[in-house]
Amino acid sequence: MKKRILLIDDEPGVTRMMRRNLEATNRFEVQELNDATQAVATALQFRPDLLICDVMMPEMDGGAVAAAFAETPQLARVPIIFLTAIVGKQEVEPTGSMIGSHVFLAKPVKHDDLLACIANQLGDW
Amino acid sequence: MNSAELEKMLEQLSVAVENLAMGRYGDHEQLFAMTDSSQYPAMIARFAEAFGMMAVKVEAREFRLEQMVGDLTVARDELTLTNQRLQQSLRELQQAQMQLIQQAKLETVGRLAAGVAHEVKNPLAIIQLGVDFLGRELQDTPVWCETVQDMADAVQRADRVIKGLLDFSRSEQLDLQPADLWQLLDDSLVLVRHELNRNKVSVALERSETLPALLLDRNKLKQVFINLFMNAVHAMPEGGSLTIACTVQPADAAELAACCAGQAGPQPDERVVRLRIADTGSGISPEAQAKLFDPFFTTKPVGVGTGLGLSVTRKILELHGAAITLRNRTDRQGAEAVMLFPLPAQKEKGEP
Repeated sequence: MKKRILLIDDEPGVTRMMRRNLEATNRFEVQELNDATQAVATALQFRPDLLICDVMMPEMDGGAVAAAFAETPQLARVPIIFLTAIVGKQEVEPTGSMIGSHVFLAKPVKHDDLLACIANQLGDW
Repeated sequence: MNSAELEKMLEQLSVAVENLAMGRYGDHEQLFAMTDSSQYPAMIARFAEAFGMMAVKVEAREFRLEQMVGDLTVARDELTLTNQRLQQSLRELQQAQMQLIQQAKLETVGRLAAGVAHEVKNPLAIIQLGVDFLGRELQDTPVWCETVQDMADAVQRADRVIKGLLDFSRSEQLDLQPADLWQLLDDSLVLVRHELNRNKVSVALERSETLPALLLDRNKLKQVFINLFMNAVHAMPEGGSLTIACTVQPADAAELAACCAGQAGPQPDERVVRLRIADTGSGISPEAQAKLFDPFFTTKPVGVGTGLGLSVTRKILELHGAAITLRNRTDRQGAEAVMLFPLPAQKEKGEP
């Protein structure tokens, strides 16, 4: 059974490249979203097992997306990996660091590091 | 009057003329005696009188001349001193101007950094993921694989530059905690131990005295030390030794003058912790010396250094109220970094 991953980033190139990489593993079903204001609506339809979300986005930032997920019972338990261009690589582990209760990955992230981080977040998967 | 007497008088006059010529004044009694026309022929008496007057005038003029020379010498000395002061002021002005330019440059870099970093990291993320994707697809063809690897390396390089910019723009806020400088140095050394060993660099620690706790941002200072250690390693490709010494002492005015320090830097004679990190490497060239702390200045090969390490280092130290100078060693070949950290107690006393 493929795990479903929702990718949110205002930059289509980023979500497209991530989707291409993730789908190539044959282990994920991936949906891209470039307008964060549609995050909850899209997620309610797609029912992701994991959300990978940019932090700085123009309409709605990553923190607001996480808050909206937390307030939506069907989405409250979806693990979130934040991607950020603001934190330097040296400040977070290559496969993700916890900041508060969330996992952060620094852009540009390597595909292998992203995979390792996804594996951590999906637990016994 | 016979000719012998006349000869004697003329002889006396000659002596007086010689005395005057030699600058021997004052002894005109003989001359004045000869102005007595009752005892000397009128001709001689008049000559003696005229000559005596001239001698007195010459003497007076000579005296005034000496006085003027004295005055002129004093005036010249004063001028020399004023000139020296002016030159000193000019040097200080030039230095202040350089510092202002430097500061303006740093601020501009800082402002640009965060914005640029964010804008560049997204495209880098796309390239990185694209390269990862293509790398897997093309792995059967070596030349394609190599090409993709070169591209991946280029992305990492660009990312390092951006990281340096981010460090720079975010070095403003400090998390100050009482910290033991030696502990911090030890922690930093652990992180570069591998590099030191690999490059055959030995480390000598001179722990001569117990240091007072300083208020430091541990993470930022670790960044500073690692940066200085790595610069030292890069300066010693054939191996060498790294000496680290800390002492508590009054800040040396000359050393302080050579330092880059912010507004709140240590004052001359203020008690400071002096940290010296010295290598046995190639030293600093005169051309490099002036630009050491300029953002983007690097002597390292393309791709090895970002040229931001020392400007970040300087900024972090300035935020700590500390000063740093980098220079060639005087005792042997190599470079040394000297940092002066203010003692926390003294800083508090100085505050209103």
